[in-house]
Amino acid sequence: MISGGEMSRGPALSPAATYWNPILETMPLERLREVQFRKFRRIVTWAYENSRFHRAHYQETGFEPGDLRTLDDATLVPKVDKGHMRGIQRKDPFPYGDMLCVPLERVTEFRQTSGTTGQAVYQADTWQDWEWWAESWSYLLYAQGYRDTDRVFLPFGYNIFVAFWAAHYAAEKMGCEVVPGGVLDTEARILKMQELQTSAMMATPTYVLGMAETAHSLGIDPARDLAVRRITCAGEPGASIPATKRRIEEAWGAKVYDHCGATEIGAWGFECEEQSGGIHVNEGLFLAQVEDLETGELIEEPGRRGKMIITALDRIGMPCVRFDSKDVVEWADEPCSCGRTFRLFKGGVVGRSDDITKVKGVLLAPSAIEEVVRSFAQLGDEYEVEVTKRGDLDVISLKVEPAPGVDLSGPTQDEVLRGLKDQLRLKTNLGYKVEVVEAGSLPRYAVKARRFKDLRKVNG
Amino acid sequence: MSAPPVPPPAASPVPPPASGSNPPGFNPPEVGDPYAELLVELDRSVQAIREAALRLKKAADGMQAVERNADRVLASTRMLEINVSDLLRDSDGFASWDDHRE
Repeated sequence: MISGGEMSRGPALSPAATYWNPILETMPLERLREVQFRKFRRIVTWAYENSRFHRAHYQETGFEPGDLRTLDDATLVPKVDKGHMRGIQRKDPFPYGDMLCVPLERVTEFRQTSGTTGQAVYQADTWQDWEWWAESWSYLLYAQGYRDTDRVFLPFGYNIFVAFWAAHYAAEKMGCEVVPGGVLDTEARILKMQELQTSAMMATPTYVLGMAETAHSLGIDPARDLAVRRITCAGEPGASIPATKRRIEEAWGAKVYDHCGATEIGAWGFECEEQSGGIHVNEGLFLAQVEDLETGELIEEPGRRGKMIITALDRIGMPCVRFDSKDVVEWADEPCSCGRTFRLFKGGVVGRSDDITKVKGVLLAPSAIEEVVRSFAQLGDEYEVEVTKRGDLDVISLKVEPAPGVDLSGPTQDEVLRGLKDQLRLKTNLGYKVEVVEAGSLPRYAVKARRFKDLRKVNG
Repeated sequence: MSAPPVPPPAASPVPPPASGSNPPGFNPPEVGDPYAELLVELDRSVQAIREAALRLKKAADGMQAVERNADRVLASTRMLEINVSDLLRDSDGFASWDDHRE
């Protein structure tokens, strides 16, 4: 029972400078789990009652929402993956199919996935969901130090992909001044950022590195001539790969923060200003579980990798319940020094279960190659990996470029290649055929880079 | 850069529930919770906004300029509930989970 005499207003004043919602973000774990369970039971019940897909999917296993008695029972709820979504889409209610939980007239937002791993998935959101997207982004931007004094530049296409759309609305909500760099090309974006002295920006790590290269070609040193001091990266794992993060930070003279999210899920994870080597799961708005890649066993302990199964606890139009994200993660062993009780994934998303592949019998995560290549100052930002089959043997070919202004010829090249091969063998337990190609000859990517190509099935 | 401190919540237009008359599904925080009083007070204001927006929408009698703007207020109010009310209430008490449902 509430009794005012026994409670104080609480330590609300100073934490408000640090947290978007100090109550939720520092909530004792036991209470946070209670809130998560109540919200999980609610969204599962909602999906069961309002989506023909979810009801049928659950009934196939005999599951009913009433089976949920504790958070441990969450694993009883059948998982959903992109294959399910692709299977029901482009049918009535068109084009979303039976996953939709609201009448079509309630849908105000259409977005689709990039289709990197197959047919694009269509995503419906109501206006309430769109408010929720902005809310989840507000948690992460506030944790990364964005405030109403920031002028934020958004150099993305403002198109059919969700990308940084919700970041725009979140930054507005927080009182930032938002500069939409939509249709401008990279040169025009850089000049506009210089003119307006924008203090922060958000883009993929690949694009941020490419922008720095373009800026230099214009005679602009981003670290010296631009005012950007905070960059939020998303869409690729680069900002959690130490060598890539270091490159971006040096090129821009700015702090670089990682963010994880997906069209079908929402903005579920963020690196905070403490940068303690991981990303927080926003456990106020999401329930993340980690499963063993082979056995499916739930992993609660730190230091063991698995794939993330995630639920968006408040998204109603097209719910995301126990979605198999394919993201490979591991719980960190220490809480973050920022004071949030939201748990950390150590090193962010360390790979994708559908990207991690066996080469010569060894599990290879492409992000490990990036970490090694970008730790060599003599090498440029771009690289390309191809896995092919020669007879029964797997062959890994790696192409790299010299860094701008570096002459990689003769003994210097031999020395760099020797060091590179040694490091690659050390980090990935595999041997590589490495080739240095002309600077600027490898493909440049504006959005999601595809630097790793497994051609064995194509060849075979 | 730091944000201004949280101002104390404005006086609620809704009277606090009398002892023993919490609404169905109301899950009061434990005694000793440093934020309890604040949460309860904030929730009272959030529910007052929601009820006012619902009244406004009903009174609009189909006038789109009022109904659609009331819908936006309700969606924003839901975000306040995520941050405040959901931390107090159990699932049976999530009355405004979707205000569009009949």
